[in-house]
Amino acid sequence: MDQFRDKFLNEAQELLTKIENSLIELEAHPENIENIHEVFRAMHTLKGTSVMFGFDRIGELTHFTESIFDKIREGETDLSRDIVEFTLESVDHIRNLLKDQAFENEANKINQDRLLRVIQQILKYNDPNKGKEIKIKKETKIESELVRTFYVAFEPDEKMLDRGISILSLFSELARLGTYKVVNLTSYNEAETQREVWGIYLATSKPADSILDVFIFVEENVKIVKISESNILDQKVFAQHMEMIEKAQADAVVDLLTEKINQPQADEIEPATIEMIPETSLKSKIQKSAAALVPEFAEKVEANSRIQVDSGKLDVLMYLVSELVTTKARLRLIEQSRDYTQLAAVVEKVEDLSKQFRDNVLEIRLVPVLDMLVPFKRLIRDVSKKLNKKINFMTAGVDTELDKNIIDKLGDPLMHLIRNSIDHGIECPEDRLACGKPEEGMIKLSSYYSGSNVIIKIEDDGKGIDPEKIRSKAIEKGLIDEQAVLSKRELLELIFQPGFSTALEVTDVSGRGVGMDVVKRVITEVRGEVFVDSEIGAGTTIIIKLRQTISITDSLLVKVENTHFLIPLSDIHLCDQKTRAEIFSTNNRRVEVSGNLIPFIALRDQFHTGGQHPDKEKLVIVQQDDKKIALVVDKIIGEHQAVLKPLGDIFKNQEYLSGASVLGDGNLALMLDTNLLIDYTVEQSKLVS
Amino acid sequence: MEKSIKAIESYLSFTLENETFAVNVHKVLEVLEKQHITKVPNAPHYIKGVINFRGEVIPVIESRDKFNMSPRTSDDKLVIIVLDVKKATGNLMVAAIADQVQDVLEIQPEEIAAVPEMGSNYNTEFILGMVKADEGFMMILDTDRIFSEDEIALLNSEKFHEAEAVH
Repeated sequence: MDQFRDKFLNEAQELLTKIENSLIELEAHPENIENIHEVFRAMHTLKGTSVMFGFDRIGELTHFTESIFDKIREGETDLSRDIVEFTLESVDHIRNLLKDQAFENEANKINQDRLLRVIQQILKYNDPNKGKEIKIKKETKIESELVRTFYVAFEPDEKMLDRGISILSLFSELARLGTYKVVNLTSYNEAETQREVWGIYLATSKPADSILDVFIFVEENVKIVKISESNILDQKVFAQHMEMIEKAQADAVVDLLTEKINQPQADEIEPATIEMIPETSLKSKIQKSAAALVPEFAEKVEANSRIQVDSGKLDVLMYLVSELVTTKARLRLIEQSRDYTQLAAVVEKVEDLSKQFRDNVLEIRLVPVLDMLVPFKRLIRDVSKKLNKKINFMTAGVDTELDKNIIDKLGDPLMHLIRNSIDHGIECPEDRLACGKPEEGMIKLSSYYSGSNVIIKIEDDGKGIDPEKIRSKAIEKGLIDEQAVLSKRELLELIFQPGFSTALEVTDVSGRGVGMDVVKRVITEVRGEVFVDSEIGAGTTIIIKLRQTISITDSLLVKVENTHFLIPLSDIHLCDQKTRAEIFSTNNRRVEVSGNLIPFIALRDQFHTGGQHPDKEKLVIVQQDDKKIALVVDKIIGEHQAVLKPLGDIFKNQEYLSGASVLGDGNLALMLDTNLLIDYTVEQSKLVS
Repeated sequence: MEKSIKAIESYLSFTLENETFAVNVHKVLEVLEKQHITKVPNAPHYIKGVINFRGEVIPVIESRDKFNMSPRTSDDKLVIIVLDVKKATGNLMVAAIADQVQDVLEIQPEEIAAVPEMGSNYNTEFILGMVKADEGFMMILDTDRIFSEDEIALLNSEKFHEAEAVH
């Protein structure tokens, strides 16, 4: 049940995000009727499911909100700013209720009452003719007393049971709608696997939608057909019919099945469509609809081109891929140690397949940047209102895809950056006009691929960051020396230092200068980099450079003495070879590589691996932006697909290693954190020179 | 009768220099032969590096260094005992280097005697108790304790470095 409940909570969050998104769209384009439908539908679904899970208060609130949007949909009420505002508030409130259905937090109870009062006001206020009210009520009453009969073909499957859906509770839900009779049409096919099919005859005054609501989680397992405009359950004909079905059931179903096999093109009824059927053909139609289930369920696989998968399952798949990659490396090693031409071809094929497999699994985990935009839109809307700023939020390339794990981590830092742009970047409308800028400020989030990286850029056309202000602040905070000569870029980079804040006054929108260093830390955690560029008066741009995935890293395997190290391929500029004398003869700790002198670091000395430097050393030149350093190693072994495993808590004060990976022979290689090594080496070389 | 059967526990005994130690077999995951240990730079002296055990990266601790015994020379025999260690945050695998594995013994609880004071050479707090063996005594180790101590040691060394940096 917990699993089922989790699914509901996930769905509820998705629906709320959908509503939020539609509302924000509506605010910009009120004429777009599709968004009103969207809100209505989402509210309706939320109402149905939340009541099923005992979230009655959400049910109550969504019920009324749904009616407001129903009225708007019908043109009886105009969509006002107040309604949008109120609905957004409700969305926030429902999010709270999902965590606190029991009103353990007093504030939630107060809020609920307040929102319900607001709804009543909206509903009352927008009713143009109060006299009419009674009449409408009366009409609906008459209509609601009309009992119709529906036939529901229901095929529970094992998956459904696995999902924890209780059939009993489905039937108790049905009982609340009206009276029903059930026939078990369970049949056995040739393979002797049991196919459970239940025919349910339901007499109810409720519309078909409410039946669908009962089966909302098993939608694909049911088909609902209206068979009569009246209640036929009490009629004699029906009783006879039932008797007949029960008697003939076993034979009939088998017959129907064989018939199906012989004529695959049977009339099919779309799931969840309501059809009018004349009463006379009742009998044949009932049989037909039961039979129609067979081909339809078989075709379901084709119809559903998208499926929802629990991300835990993807993690398992990813783990299996990583094991496969490791095993493949072992196979390769065995093949190399033996002269076995036949094996070589097989190993090559396995290598190729595992690479494809890996890429495909990684691809499943990729989600578009678009998926995380809704909270940003909401943030911009709320914060700009609060600060009386006008902001146009633009996006570009949001279909660029990233690993879900990375996207999940990026939410908070991006939120912070955008909040900074609104608070510190964009000026208030008067100031903007005075500077000759358009009244409305612009914040643009764009993303695109750049080689094997993904870039996310956040630009604003606000007042920019003054490097001189940063300088004085940094001196004041003791971050830099008063005499320090720093380029504009180096000054700007200082904003990522812990404890640095450019905001002269602390506001409740942006934090207290604890933000930017956290942004940088989180981005570094997902092996990304962040840069800042800014022009005074023209705006600020933050660039985030990310790897598309961090689960498997293509890397270069090198050896120093007895220790294997890995270097991410994406960081490598080139490889070179020098004699020991060429490297160590100069004492400025720099080595000449293709005409340039660059700092180097000998892993043997840095990591105390022991042993003697060989006469011929190998150099691996790694780079990060414009910084290049050379890593001095003994041997370059070759490419390795590294599945990174953490070194564990015991090594948590280990700075220059980001993990370990299992090699083909079962030994481990240590992954170098090139970014940190580069920074360290560049700093060291400055000290010497 | 049944009770006493239940109470008997099995222990794996091993040697370090001239001493015999034992750990409860429930704590032992596997005993490995000598194998390549990947050195991890700048780790505490008693951590010899990491090995791959069942696809996981686990740290290898040199028990001789941990217990302040004479350092191991390259000629000395060694075995690696993989232990399942309980930690506040869950279980953790740790490999300990010993000289030689001796035996698996059944020890009755009443055979285990309390630890006498043994001078400063040994950290007696890691020892659960002593059992009389053929020649002398065997020390039963509290493996969970040893590891949690390691963590404290690591934290302290971090603090120590910070303190150094300030001066």
